[in-house]
Amino acid sequence: MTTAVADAHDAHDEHHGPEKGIKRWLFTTNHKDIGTMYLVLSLIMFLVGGSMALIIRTELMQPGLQFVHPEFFNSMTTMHALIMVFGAVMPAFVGLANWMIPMMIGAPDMALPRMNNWSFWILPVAFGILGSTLFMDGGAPASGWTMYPPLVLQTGDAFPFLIFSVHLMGISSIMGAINIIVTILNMRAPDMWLLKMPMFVWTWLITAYLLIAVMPVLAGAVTMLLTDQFFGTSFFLAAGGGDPVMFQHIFWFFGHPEVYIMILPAFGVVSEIIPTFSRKPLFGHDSMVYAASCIAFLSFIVWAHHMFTVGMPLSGQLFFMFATMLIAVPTGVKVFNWVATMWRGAMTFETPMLFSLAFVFLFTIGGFSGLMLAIAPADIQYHDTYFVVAHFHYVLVPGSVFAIMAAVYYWLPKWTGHMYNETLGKLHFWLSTIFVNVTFFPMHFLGLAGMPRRIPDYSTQFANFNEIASIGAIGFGLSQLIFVWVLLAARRGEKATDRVWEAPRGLEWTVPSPAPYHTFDTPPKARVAQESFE
Amino acid sequence: MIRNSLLSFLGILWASSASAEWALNMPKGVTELSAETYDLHMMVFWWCVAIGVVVFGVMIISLVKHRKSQGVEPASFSHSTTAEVIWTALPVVILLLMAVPAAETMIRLEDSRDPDVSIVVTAYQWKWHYKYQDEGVEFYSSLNRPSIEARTKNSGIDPFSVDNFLLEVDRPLVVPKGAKVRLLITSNDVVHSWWVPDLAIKKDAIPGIVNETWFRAEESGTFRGQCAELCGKDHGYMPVVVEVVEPDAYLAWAEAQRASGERVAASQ
Amino acid sequence: MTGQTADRKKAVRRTTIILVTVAVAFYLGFILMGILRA
Repeated sequence: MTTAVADAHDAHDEHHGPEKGIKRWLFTTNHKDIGTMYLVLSLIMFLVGGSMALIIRTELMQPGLQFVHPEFFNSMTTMHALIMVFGAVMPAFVGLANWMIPMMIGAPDMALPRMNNWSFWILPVAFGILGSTLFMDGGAPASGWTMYPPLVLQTGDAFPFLIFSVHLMGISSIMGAINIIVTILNMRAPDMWLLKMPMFVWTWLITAYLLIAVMPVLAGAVTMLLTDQFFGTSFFLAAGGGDPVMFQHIFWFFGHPEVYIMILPAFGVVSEIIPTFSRKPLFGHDSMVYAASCIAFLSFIVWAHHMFTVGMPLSGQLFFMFATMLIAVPTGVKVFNWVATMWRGAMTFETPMLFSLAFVFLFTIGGFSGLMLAIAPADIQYHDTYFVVAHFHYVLVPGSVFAIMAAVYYWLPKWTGHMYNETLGKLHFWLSTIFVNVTFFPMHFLGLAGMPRRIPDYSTQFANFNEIASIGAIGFGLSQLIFVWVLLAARRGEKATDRVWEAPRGLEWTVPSPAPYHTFDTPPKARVAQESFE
Repeated sequence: MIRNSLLSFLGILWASSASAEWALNMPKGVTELSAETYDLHMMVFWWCVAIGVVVFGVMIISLVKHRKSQGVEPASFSHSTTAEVIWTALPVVILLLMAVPAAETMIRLEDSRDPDVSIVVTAYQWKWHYKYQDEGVEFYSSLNRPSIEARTKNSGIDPFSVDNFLLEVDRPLVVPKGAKVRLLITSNDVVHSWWVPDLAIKKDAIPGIVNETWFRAEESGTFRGQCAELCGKDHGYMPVVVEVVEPDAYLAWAEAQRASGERVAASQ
Repeated sequence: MTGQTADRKKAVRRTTIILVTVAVAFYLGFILMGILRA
């Protein structure tokens, strides 16, 4: 209401509605449009990456090689990871950030709307280039997403395209992160001081700092790979006096914060949803902010726990073991705070809440295997086995991915003005949860029994759990088709109210559903006080 | 006496049916350090179970009792400094309890002084090379013939019909029981990793670097492992097999290797 | 957007330049580290 009135009165305001057709999407600088594009790209990439996972799991269903050659199998594991990390999870969270951050802080749009457009459009180009490597001589990259030299330098024609693609993805992320920080620091509604911001905004502020620090480091690492391959340098080549292990240090200095980049916004989402459906404020809001900051800081000093078998001096092993174990403390604080939020609330279990609760349960299990992995002597047995695969899939799938789905179910009515089908949503939830566990829990056993990672075939004692995992994967994959159906069908769903849910807090619930193309052209004053959590 | 025999018989039956196909846990292994590693792993595991029982227990109680459908009114509390302090401090204490034994084991693992046998292990795409420093013995160790034949795509050979499918080599690493064996591990091409679960050692094989590790096997037997770092298309096809034998058997074996090596050299 | 004050535009520009500098510094810094190490 206030927005419409402000529009009418503002003489400088020349908002037309959005453009028509493809030009709208190509040239938009509107944070809602850009958010939508990120989310659509993310869904497509999730299904593409998921199909690659199904190729992997189909081959691994039984011992013996039935469907693919080992080289192609290695390409599938490599591409599956690159696509899921850089094409599905990260763009999904950026899409959510674009849609929600301006509305949550009472800003009209992001601080740098034109750069925002470029941040998005670079991505389809990057993934087009990466995907095209499947058809090149030597095949798609098959070195693992970790791209260790010297192996990665044995990549065929695809090599420079891999590097270029990674550079493009990095630039997109860096620009997006800059935009988010500049927006949050400079465009909050008056009265919204930092500690008053919702958790989703806080976690994204912290995540954006991580991105700016570490994406350039990845870019540096792959630049050095490129010069080693084509320009006669020997950063990582032993023959020329270089050090392959240095790549691992540089890569994981990026790589460890990267995994926190993928989980912190998930923490933010869950911190929005659980209070709404518990009808109770988030427990320990300030403590949650400090815990997230702690996690972010610690994430910079633990990278070598990915390298415990590389031949590190004892002092290094001990330091990285202790620092890694420490991260369990602020992470535990967050889990306890979520449980305390639920405690003595009055809960209902709509789909966003179901996904958020599953997140807390199953991410915690992933956290437990993470703690086990931190114990360096024990990690000698876990490293590069399916135990690690189990760990990171628990924190990424029922972790990050479930949080993304929770967020989509939660905010979809605000974006589209229509409720999704709650019965189908619940079905999607239950099938996903059951199959995700069927797929990944047995992998703990496989790793402990001695099955290494990244192998296309295995000794017969690993057959039973592999078969179970593969069945789970097929079930999980099929269940996602329900999600796609829910999204498509939501266009015809019941009309949503402004509040959508019974009593959510936050400025985004004070605008109509669907949210108008432009919101908060004039900053909200009085409403901030009502919607805050103090 | 009959009762005892019956019980032992049933025990053996039960143990053998606890087949490897459903193995849930890592092996205790055959060295002192592999047992220590196993114990550490189990300690951390039980801590996680305990914490999980408490946290998930509270969650489940809340999910059952604190539902709107039960007609409860939501409370309005939103913070407690005391709680935050407790659930920050308590985990730190628990972590310390884990960190101390872990550090002790780590220190013992790194102590490779005074070895009895030294072997240079060189990784290749896709096989291992072993060179005994003081025995004048060296050879390549590759996936064995039956596995090679069965492993090709649509080979028609059932992997279940191959003994130790993908885990058998033509020439295993032979070492004496009870001796401190030091391995000097490097690579000829890309990064690989030498791993035998029963010995609880895994060390990366990196070109241009020599990594050192050691083990002392307390039991004889054949122990199998695999390459544990993606190294190209046949990463899954370069297993590690270690045969631990009595010290005299080891010396006899080394002598035989040298003899056949000399015969080969003489005939060229 | 319409209604951006000059002050806000200046603040946005300043924050952006700082962040871009940080990103470039990390990029060059790590490559330099690689050069010096080798």
